[in-house]
Amino acid sequence: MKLQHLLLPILALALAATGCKREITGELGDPIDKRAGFLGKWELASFTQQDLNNPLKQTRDLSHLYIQDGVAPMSLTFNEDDSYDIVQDIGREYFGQGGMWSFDDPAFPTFLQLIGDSDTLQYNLGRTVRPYDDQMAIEYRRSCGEGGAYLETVIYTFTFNRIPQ
Amino acid sequence: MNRLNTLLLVLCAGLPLGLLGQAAYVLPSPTAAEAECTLYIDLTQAQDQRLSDMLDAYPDEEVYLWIWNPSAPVDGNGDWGDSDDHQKMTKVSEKLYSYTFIPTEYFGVDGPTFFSRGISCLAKFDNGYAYQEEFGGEAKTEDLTVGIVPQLCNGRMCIFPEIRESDDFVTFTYDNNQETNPDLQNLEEVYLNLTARTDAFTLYTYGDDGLSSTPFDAGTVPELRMQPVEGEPGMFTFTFVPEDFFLGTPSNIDQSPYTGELLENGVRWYITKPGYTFQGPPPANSLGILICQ
Repeated sequence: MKLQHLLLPILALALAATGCKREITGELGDPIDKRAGFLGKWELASFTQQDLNNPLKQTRDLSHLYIQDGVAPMSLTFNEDDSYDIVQDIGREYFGQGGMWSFDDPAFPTFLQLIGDSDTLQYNLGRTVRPYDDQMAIEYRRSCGEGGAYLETVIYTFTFNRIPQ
Repeated sequence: MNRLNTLLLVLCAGLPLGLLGQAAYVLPSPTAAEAECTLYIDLTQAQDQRLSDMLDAYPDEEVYLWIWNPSAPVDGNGDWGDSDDHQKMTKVSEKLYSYTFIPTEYFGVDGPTFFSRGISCLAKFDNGYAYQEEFGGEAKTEDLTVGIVPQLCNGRMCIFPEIRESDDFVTFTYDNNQETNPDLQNLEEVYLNLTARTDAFTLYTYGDDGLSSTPFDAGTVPELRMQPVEGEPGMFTFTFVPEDFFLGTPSNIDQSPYTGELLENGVRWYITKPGYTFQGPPPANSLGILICQ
């Protein structure tokens, strides 16, 4: 059979299938409450470092520096009253000693802000966290310089699992 | 044969022909930034055949490389009317010319810059204006571009990340299978001698109190031991944060402890083993630290 005799029916079928797609109806529902999604206790599941100047922007898993047998992994708890607690036995400290927490924009958060007694830390949110999500990620994006000399260097990503309360 | 079948055949056949017919390419590919590679220019594949035609008429003419990306050569291209001698290409075969170089040395750029910018160049005669009237244009090919497929580090020592500050995690990955020092081959225990340098004279060698009368042996310091990489015989790894790691290490000047000063002169490192003394000074490898204020 000639090739176009095969192709034409297939094309016709494809057009028919897409043409019959049902129209979407209904309400969009309430927007997700990002703050509610963040509340609760989170335990560190992995820690990675991405090299933005590596030809392939490689990522290395450095979880072993924070997660070791016999040692409880770092945990963060974000409370309703805007306070946060941290429990950390090993690894370099990035999240302060506890204090208050907030988003830069509660409706469309990009950054997580951790306000301690002497310092305010700000990190990127890896993804939107909904109340039913079991994982969240906090990114520490490092850069150097300004203007034409601006250079992005590495991204550290802390991925946490939600601990049911 | 109908037109549709002809079209399909042409499309299928055209792909490999397109890959083969490059006027400029680099070998080996993937390409390492710090190892020799060779740029080839095939004049028969150039769109502008003027230089090829000129060579037919003047076969004794030499062909020169004129290059501007990722950067002009450290030693320059010369003048358009008189290329520098070091830019002369090697004739490989009829109308095929090559030029061999180490990218980071030849261009004076780092690996990421080389990989991201690729190569932009052309081939020309020593005098780019030669035979202009006779052939209706300059003695050159059109601009040629070569994308580079980067080769990731697979050398004796790889350091991650490429650019790091003193408070970044830094990972050394060492391949003892590629060790060139016969005394350090086939090691089961590998140690890193690490010295932080806040300036050219102030050194903080981890584990060395500077007081002992015997030469410092990094092979006796457990924190300096590299960890074997599981499933990869001969491979060892070591991760540290320079600024944290050297805290409290005494200086060579007055034994005052390191307290997190900027590591303006980076970190000097070398591989060693317990009880080993180098004949002559140990290797002076340097880990550069980005100073970002």
